[in-house]
Amino acid sequence: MNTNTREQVILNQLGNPVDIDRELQSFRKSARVLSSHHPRFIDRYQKKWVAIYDGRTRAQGRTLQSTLREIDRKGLPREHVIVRYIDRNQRTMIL
Amino acid sequence: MIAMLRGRFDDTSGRPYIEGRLILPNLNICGDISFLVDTGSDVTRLHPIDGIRLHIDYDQLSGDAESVGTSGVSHDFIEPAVVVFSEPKRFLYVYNITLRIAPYDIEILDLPSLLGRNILDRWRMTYNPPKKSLLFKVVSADVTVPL
Repeated sequence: MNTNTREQVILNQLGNPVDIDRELQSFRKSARVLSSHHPRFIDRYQKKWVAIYDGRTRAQGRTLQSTLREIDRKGLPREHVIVRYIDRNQRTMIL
Repeated sequence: MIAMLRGRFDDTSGRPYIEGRLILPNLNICGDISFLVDTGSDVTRLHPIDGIRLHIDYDQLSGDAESVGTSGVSHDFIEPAVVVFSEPKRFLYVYNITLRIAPYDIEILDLPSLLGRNILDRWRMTYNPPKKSLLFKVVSADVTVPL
């Protein structure tokens, strides 16, 4: 497959570039909200899963699955939701 | 003008992240991922927290790629993938990669997916936690899409 054909195949898989840019900006906004509000999340959502969409907390639960079910129930798009487990005693990560 | 992507540091953990769009054409799956920037990882790896969220059917996955980490050996699934990063209102940078998908394991359920060196090597990173500045100069991409 030559370069142009390969690029075209990739482009066909992307969808609308402007939509991707807009949706990624919204997703980044959600990620930043989770990050910058984390201290108060710790008290409110200690040992819970939290889901953020479009900059707002939309669901919480004791398990990842129950939190995602709540997201589905509300009709929100999972693919644009950021989910994190909140724990005061965050595990040390060595990758 | 220099092509530049912006990451972020998590306020609590201090971990570096960047958000991107993941597309798995063969599985018809597409979604946004907050990747942990991991220069110690040879490859980009999807973890169960995102795999479950994106409705990946683990029974449908194939491949057996051995990877080793501090916690031991893992056998990952392999899937062709497209990863997209955006420089808002300027460009999309698109990477065609072979994605590792970690098998479901409740012990790593809270671990973020990793952005490894198969993409990071194509950027030049400015890593400045005190200034909360995490920037990536894009050296190359498989496809660059103007917005």
